[in-house]
Amino acid sequence: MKNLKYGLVILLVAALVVPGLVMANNENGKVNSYLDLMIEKSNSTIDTKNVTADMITGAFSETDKFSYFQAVETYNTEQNTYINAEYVGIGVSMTAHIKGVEIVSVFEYSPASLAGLKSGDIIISVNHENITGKSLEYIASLVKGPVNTYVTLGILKNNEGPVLYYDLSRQVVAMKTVKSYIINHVGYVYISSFTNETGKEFKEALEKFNKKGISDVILDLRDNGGGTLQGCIDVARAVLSECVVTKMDFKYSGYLDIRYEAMKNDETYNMVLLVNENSASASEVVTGALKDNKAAVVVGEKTFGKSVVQSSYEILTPKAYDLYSAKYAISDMFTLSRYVSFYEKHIDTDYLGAAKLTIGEYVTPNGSRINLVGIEPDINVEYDGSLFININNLDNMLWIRAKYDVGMTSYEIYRAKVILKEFGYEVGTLNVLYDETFKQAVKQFQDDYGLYPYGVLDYTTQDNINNILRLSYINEDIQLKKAFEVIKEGK
Amino acid sequence: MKKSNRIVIIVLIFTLICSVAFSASTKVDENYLYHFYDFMQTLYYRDISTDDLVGGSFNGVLSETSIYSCYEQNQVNETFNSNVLGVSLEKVRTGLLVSNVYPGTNASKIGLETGDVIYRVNRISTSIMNIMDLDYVIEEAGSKAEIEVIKAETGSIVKLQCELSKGYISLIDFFIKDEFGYIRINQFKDLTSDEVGKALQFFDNNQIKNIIVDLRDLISMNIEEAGEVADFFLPFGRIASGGDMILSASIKSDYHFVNIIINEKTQGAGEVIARAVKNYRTGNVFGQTSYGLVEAVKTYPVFTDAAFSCYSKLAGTTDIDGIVNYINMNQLSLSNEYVSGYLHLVENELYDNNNISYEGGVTPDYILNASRVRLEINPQDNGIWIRKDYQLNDVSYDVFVAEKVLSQLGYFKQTPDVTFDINTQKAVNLYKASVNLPQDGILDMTTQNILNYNLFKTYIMKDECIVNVMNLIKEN
Repeated sequence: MKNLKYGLVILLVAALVVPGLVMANNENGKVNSYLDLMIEKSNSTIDTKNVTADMITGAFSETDKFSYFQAVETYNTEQNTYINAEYVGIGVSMTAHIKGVEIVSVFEYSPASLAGLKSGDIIISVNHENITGKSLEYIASLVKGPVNTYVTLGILKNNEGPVLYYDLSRQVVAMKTVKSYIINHVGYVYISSFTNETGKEFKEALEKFNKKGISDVILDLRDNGGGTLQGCIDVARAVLSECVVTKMDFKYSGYLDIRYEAMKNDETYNMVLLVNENSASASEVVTGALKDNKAAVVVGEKTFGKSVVQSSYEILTPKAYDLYSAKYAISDMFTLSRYVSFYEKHIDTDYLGAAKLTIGEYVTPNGSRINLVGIEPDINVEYDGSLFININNLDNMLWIRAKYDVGMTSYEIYRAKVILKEFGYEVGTLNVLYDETFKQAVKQFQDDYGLYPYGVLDYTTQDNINNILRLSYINEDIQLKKAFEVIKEGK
Repeated sequence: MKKSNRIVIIVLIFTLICSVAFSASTKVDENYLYHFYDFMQTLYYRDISTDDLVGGSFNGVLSETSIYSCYEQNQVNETFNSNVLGVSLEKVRTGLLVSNVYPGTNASKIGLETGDVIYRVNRISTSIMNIMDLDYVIEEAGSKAEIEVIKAETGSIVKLQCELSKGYISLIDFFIKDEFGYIRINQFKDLTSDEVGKALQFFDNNQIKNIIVDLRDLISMNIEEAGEVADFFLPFGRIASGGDMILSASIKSDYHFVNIIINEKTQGAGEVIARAVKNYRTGNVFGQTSYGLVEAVKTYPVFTDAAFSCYSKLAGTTDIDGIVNYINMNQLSLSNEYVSGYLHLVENELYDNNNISYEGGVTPDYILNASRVRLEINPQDNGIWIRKDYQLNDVSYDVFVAEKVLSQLGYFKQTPDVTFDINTQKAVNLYKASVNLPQDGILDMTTQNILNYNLFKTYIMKDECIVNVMNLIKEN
């Protein structure tokens, strides 16, 4: 009797073991058979240590390039935090990326913007140190440093291609993304990228125009690679009235499609929107909203065509999946992950890594898809390739990072002398020294442009020098020239 | 009592052994993996099939191996495309490798070169795309597309706007020029050796002894077909071997002495042929040292889940080799319904008859500049698409091309148009008389073929390398 009981226990244990095995293999064994074949036959040895992670990584080979899997060794939980420009000193905000960090937005006049870095560029090395898998804070600490020292960044443009190296000098940068000025009685606004503050800055610029009774506005989104959703929605709302801004369309039925709408707005503008093939993401949301609502004439080139909604998901290991799947009696991985993250304590070893997935896309108010297609402008003006001038990124513009006065030396003084000489001011010898002759020239310039004439090359004066430099280039910027023509016709 | 106890223990031990055996062969938890696929399909904004996800996962496992080891989807569209980009392709894990560019097509115009990898078409990844689907995908997009290419020389990525052009890619091109018989191999496919055989027969019939085989700018890992081609040029003996693959030439006395041209881009099949001819001294090798990579790629069908269940039960094994053998033995169907794609595996390194690896390439007997000339020819000059006979009152674009060639040759005096009129007929008859064909006024496929050769000859003689080779042969 006793023995029989014992036997029964063993049988029970066996019975428990067997279903466990069957459960783990309720698919037909096909994948394992092919795995065996590859391991046995392949010329080079295949490391099976991380085979599950390798297979999951491989499953992304058919997705768009914005979706990927990040295995746990390289994954860090700061995925969605942004590091701001103030700390960094090169003028970018960045977020974690599988290969390093991705630039979310680039600030006007910052070393990064003057070097030509764009939102969407990926930094993969800092001072030739590979930063893949490092935490954002660590990377930011590498980028940070005393003013006027240099940092070398290895950059991947568009997530691919050869690594380009940029030497940037660290500077104190203002976190402004909006630049506005009045040119020939037309309000001109340039947005370099979208941050959560962009909407506020944009409204300030519009108010400045309103005060001067200007309702003709050129909004320049060329080379604007995107940024935050909040930023672009705010900008669109500032000029639209009682209409749809954009719609977010998800694949998964559990996610409700979202519509962003603009409230009633009394201000109306005669607008031209300038875009080019580098206007992407958030810029395209604005372009779609303004074009479909007939709030602006779109001039320039077809936009980039990246307009997706992405989200990150933590992926359980097979072991954790089996454990929690039995505990909650849920086999659906998505639902199970939500239960686990809600009810269980977060244990690092439960996770294989994280998947970043494109889960939806933005559609314009009229329902057109932007992603992979781009938006066609109303008036197509393309550069012929020989000349590319964007008046906001002129090579010879002043950096506006310090005040200069007599006795000081700086390369910036030399650059200012060159520009003022171009415009007919007597600047004396072209060198880096701020001498009395140059002071007189600055005084004269300040007098001519209605500034306080005290001969100190301050921020406002430098800004004005940049403006006259821009004005001199407007006719060379054929897209902007067209924008001015269109806005005059619209009157 | 004790007996039953023992049985229980035996059952337990058996179960344990089973479980050990099971876990030994279970490298990945399939239940988990399929739930992950399900998760991706639920959330990812585009539809993506389980078969494609499985295929992508295979590529993930192979990520550290030769780029020729990869998964390839089934062909989506099997209908013949009338328009082509003008490249032949090899499947690699990063996408579609350009293995040859056909002169005069749009592909050569936009600067595609042998060795480039097309890795995205209209921003869609080509990592598991079937090589036959490229033209179809471009055609679907309105015959124009943006392709993203990894350049062979620099490794940089370029975006190219491509457009399909009218025409077709022949496996080989050949013609007779003075005392030379010239063959250019464009692709190594199952019928390439047959075509080479026909060309050699044609040369024999015309008492041509100086044969040139041009293998420049050509990549192919179809080593078996290379063996078949090399067979024409060897009296006997081992061509190449590695693992269970052995390629040998049959014993014969009617082999052909051959002059082979290779260059630094010649890779795979071309190197096998050149090395064999060099080792057996049955010909001369001209040009530049070849690339130096020969890998025997073996291809296995990847079954759909349902077909795998069914076939593994029938065959009584889950071993892929076992199932494939069973299917071959019983001549079962391998149609698209049962097969989701193909798994290409590089299994063994190959060695030549002297057991020397191909690493380092094949060094020619005569080193000379062997870069291929990129010829700028209008798409209209692409040649006639040989598909039917034409006669009086037919209207076709091919008639236009034929008239153009005939006018170049001096037989047709009017402005070429698409109508086969009485003047066209006159010109065709005049031309047919000159090549000893019956003057029936019909532009038949034979005549079209000869016209194409004429077109071909006009630009091939601009290729300095071929002219140099011909001069060197004459001197010796």
